Amino acid sequence: MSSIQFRPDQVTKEMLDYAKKLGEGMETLSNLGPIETGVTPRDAVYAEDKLVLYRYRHPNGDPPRNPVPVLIVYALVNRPYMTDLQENRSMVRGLLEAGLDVYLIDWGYPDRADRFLGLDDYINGYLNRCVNVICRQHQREQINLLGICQGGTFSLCYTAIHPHKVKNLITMVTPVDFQTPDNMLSRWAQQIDVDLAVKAMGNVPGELLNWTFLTLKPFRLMTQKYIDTVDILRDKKAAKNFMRMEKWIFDSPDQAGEAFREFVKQFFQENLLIKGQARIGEHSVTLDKLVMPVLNIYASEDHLVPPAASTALKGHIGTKDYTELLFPGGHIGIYVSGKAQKQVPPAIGAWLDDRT
Amino acid sequence: MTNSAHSQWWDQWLRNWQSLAAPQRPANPWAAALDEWSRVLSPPTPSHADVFARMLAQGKSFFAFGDALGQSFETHDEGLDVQALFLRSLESMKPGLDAHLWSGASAPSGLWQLPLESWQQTASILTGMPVDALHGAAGGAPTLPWLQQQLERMLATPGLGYTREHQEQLQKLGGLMIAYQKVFNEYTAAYADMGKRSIERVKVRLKEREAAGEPPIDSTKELFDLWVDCSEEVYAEFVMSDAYVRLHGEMTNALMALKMQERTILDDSLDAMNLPTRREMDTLLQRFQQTRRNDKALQSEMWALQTKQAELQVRIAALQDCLSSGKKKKAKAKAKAKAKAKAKKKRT
Repeated sequence: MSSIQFRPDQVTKEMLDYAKKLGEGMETLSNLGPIETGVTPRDAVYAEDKLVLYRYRHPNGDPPRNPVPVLIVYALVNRPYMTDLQENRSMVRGLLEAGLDVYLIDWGYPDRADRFLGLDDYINGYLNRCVNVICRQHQREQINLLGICQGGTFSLCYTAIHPHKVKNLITMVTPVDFQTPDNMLSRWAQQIDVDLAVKAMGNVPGELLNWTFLTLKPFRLMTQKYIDTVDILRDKKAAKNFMRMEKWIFDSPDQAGEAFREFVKQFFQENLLIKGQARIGEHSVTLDKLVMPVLNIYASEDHLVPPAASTALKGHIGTKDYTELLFPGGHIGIYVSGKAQKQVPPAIGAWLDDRT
Repeated sequence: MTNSAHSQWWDQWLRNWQSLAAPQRPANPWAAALDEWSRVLSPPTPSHADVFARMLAQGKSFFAFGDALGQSFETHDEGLDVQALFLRSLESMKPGLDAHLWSGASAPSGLWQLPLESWQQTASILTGMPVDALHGAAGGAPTLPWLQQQLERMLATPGLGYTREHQEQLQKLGGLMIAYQKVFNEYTAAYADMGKRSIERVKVRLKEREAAGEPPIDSTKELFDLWVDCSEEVYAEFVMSDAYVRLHGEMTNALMALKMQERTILDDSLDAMNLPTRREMDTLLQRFQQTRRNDKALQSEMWALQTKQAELQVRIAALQDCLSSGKKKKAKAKAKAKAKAKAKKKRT
């Protein structure tokens, strides 16, 4: 039997249906209005250059159940509102509901004046000062750190350099071994002359990073996604959700040139973190300094940070209190999917409660 | 335009198209109609314009796929074997795949053109050069080899006179542009090759489905999705290969070398006009950043000292308390002893 069975008039009907749906979708989009992101009320508690440190308010005004504050360290390459996209898709909200006191660093949008910001400035500078601010505010010597993606790598480096300041460390979809055989981004980075690239470009434009991320799966992310979306755009709510994601995907800040150069060289090209040879400013980074409890959360379908890149952490840290949490989904789904909302923040809350 | 107006527009267009005799019909009716329709759309709000553009472009890609299917049906009689026609249609795409990748034609193979187009736009943003200038004239067609040779010979001519250095810089720029175009052509050829392999993969998948007795594909969308799946598979295999890693590196490095040379020429011009150059700005920014680091380090040291000072002050105060309470105790004891002695004396 043939594997394709349909009549020519079906093609015409399908095209016509698609065209009409596209028209309806366009009409919905035209009347959608502005797209809001970042829904949970918060207060700016510290600001420096383009960085702002936020503290989230508890929904019902109750004090947090867990007295040790949690600082979320997000990646530089995208905007952190992914963790608080909308009311029913908010990791931040889930963490608050789990009784945690949540802080988040918004790194802002670097411009040419930030061209020479290096990893030392980000990790031992900005991040360290944010930790100090929180410690002072709570009169504590240690806080909990939750690093996401590249922010997870930053958190690992920070904790290895300042272990006395971190009570518990949580890493989410965090690359540790940058050269696992299935790491597409890493393969592509191997032959790039990153010194020349940064010298030529100064800061690395967000458009270039976007192109790189989209071309990991170009036909699904650049074509199929838009064709499939036509089916849901009649619904204003679904259209808003889609537009929120679109806004986030294409909202890629430029990267401070020096930090980008150091990150690509040390981590992607030389894989120094896992080798225990990474250097951040004057400090060497060895993961065996991580003696506090560590929770490592990774996603089974992650196309940006393959699971093996994250789970490599296990064999290289100094703590015996190491927990892994596998999330059945992708790199983005781990913050925004319905399943993630039910699983991830409560698991983090319970894990921290056991260690407070 | 309201929803019903959109619907009416398409119904009317379909009636018009069906009333045309076959020879009068355009080659890609649905893709062409989408272009026409998009011109009557109300302009989107600026914040949504990009998404509009992406949806239209991908709608066009899907319609081009439908057009190709439709065309293959039209040239055959009733009782046709859709699978055989589809495979023939895919096969006929192969020779033109390179041409389509260059020309930007609205063909089903446009699926493979999109990542390249988006690279061209990114490269154009990075260098400030229009897409045509950067990727060859005539919609990105590769530079003819003989023309390239002539250009290379011309660029190899030594500079003369007072402007010799400037000529050399421009020659270097031309050389780097040609070098970039060469590697971009190689990159595009690799894409065309992947496109052809994706067609082969579709054939294999269809045979596998048939052999496994899976339910037949009964819609254009399902068939399109199969092609997307196969394209993604072929792509994922190739982009992890050493050949691609080399090519990707060479293309990026060639573009960066070109951009660097652009910057050098621009800096020289700015310098000649006594205006600040990028080089100078970088030097200043680097110094400024170092000063800020020193400043932050001093602040941190100062804060540590202040904390220590505060701790010491607390300890001093405690010691003073201790001392003063010791003195008081001593005085009290002395007074007590004195009183005791006085009482004893009185008694005696």
